[in-house]
Amino acid sequence: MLAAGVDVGAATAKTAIVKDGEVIAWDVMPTGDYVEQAALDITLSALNKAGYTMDDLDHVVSTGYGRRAVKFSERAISEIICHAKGVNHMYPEVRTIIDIGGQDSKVISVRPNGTVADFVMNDKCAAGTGRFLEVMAEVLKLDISEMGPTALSSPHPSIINSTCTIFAESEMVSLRAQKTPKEDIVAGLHRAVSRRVGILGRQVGYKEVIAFTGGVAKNSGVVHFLETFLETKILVPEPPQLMGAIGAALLANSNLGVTNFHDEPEEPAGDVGFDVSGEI
Amino acid sequence: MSLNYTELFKMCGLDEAWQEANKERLDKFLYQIFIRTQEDVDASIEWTKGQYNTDSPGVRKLLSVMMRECIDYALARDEHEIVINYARPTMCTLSQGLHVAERRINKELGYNKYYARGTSIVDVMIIMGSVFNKSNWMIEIAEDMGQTAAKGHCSEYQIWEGGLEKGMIPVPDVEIGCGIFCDQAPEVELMMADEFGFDMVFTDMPEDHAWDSWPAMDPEAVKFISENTEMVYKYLSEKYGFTMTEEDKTQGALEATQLYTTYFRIAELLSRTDGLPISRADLSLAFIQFIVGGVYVEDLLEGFKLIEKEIRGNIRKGNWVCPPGSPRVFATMTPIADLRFFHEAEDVGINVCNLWFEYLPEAGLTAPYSSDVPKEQMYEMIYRFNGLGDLCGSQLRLVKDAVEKLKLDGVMVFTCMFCRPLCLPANMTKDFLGKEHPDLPVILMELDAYDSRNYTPEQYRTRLESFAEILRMNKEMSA
Repeated sequence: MLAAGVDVGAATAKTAIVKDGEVIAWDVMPTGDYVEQAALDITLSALNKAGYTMDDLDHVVSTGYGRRAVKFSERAISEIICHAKGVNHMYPEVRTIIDIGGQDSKVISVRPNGTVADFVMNDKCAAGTGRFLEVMAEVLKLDISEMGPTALSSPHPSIINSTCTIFAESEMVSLRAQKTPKEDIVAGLHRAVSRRVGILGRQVGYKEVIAFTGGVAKNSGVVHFLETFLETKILVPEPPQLMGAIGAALLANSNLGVTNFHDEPEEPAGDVGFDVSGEI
Repeated sequence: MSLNYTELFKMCGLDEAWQEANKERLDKFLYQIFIRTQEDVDASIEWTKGQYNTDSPGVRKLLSVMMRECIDYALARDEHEIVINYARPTMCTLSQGLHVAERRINKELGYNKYYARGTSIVDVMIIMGSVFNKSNWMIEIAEDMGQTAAKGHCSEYQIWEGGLEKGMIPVPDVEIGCGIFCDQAPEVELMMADEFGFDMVFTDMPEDHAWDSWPAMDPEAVKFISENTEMVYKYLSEKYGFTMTEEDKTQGALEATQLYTTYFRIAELLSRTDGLPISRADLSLAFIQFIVGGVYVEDLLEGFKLIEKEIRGNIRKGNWVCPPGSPRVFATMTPIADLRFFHEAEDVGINVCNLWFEYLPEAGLTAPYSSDVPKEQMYEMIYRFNGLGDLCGSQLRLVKDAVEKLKLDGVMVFTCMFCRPLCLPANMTKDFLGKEHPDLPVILMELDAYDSRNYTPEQYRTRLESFAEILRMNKEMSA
């Protein structure tokens, strides 16, 4: 069976191609403004890498915030479920997943069979997400890829407010005015992100082994400060941002998620609600 | 500008004949609540259709009651000499006597001297929110005036404040403040009385009993509320000539009991049924009304009966909103001004089969009363409802009991950020259930009963979908 799992997040779109339960190809690209086009492009790219075409696919499952916009998908499953499945497939010993994406973060408690026991998510506030680090990188005129190594080079991380991106930015400006070394500021920012998510996860509770997924898991600084906060080593799957897509592909034969989203309007429904006439 | 609102009010159970007879009132009402263009009317129609099944006779009947109550309240100053409000969220065991007295006194006088209702604010919030989609706007008006939620005023009071500020609803002559649900409410009311210049009198209710005292309530507290309520009635009589007789109070208690028993029959039916035969959004109309009562009590009872008939018919015919086998959950709260949350939950197959005040364990009904006085026993029953007695202690026990007795698959605990009574027990409830039933899926979700600005369907859809999957998998694993 050949399945594609398409994870369309706010920042990036990812597709994993799974054949008979094995990941054979994957790809990642920025989502941009056109969700369905991004999903299609990334799926074609991943298929191309695997040497297949859309016609070869037996199943397509979508996940992520844009999951219902992927009209060529037959099933849309929430990213919580897909992440748990994907990580469990690759690393069955994991019991807690910390996922920090571009615009949200979540902590998921996973059972040995890959099902979700509990979860908590923050999608209201940029603090504790990839966006927080992007904003700060822009202000510091650093490439996002330089942030982690810069943080690790600091011997004295600054103390920075961890609860609000805007306030953290203000604090950063003050620290720079006080001639605080850049690496200390960057380290302070990484500690702030890690603390924010670490505290969020306490609502669910941490059981080892703890895995760290999402694009931000590629940031060595956040990995370091999360390990410091949690006082344990954490596992970073490879590639960390593909776990949702892998999980989606693996759930292709399941009855999870929704299948009746193809007739929904592409633009947000706004204040026009749901017609339930006839459902009773 | 002449508006075509026939369809809108028909959808809300008010037929063309009624509209024609009340045309002047409707025109004034719509203007007063800032529904002033045909676009506003058309948008309201679409919004209402998205909230309720407006083809349902029961829904229309209940909407007709709420709409009439809302119109009555908006025009109360124009149509009555004296406006008496009994603040939110009143239990109709306390306020129904007022409604009876209003009907009787005005009939005896031959004109509408008094508007005396405990329904006003609640029905305004429901109609302004779920029909006209204006509750968020009213909240923002209050925030512009400095009454932010951060100052500790819940969105309910913000709606009221916004409505008063914009003249959408009248300033009363006297407000009966009530701390039945929130000890902060009377403070807010006092502040608004000062701001808008109206009289206040308090049905003071000590909300917090000793932890673990439920269902045995503090007899002194019960006696206090009973005597205090009599003081309020005496005040209304002496200062405003609004005199409630013992027959009014008895009739009020009887009507309240009829509303309660009729609604609880529906709630019991749902909680024992495998599958959800009616949308919780539609049932919310009945849920609110059984709590607050009203002057149109016969229509209310008819609406409840129509809803029950529909439910039973749907069960017989196999018409389900959530089919049998869907996970059954208890919810600790309900949205009131925007019901899209329920549609999302039902869309993903979550059957909210019981919620909030609907569940009363046997001990709540059978525990001996602390008083021999029937009136005081009635007040004691109010305390025994979920979250109204010893607040945190009773909610924990009631939810646990609901899980066990109703054999539920999960619990949705809502934390309502700007509501002390509702946010304090939320985490405690989750933790408590985690210890008592470690394998029971429990989700903690933020939601506000009236303010939907921060709670978009997209945000809670991901949570609901994930929770639905957890519930299903758990059900399969424990089968």
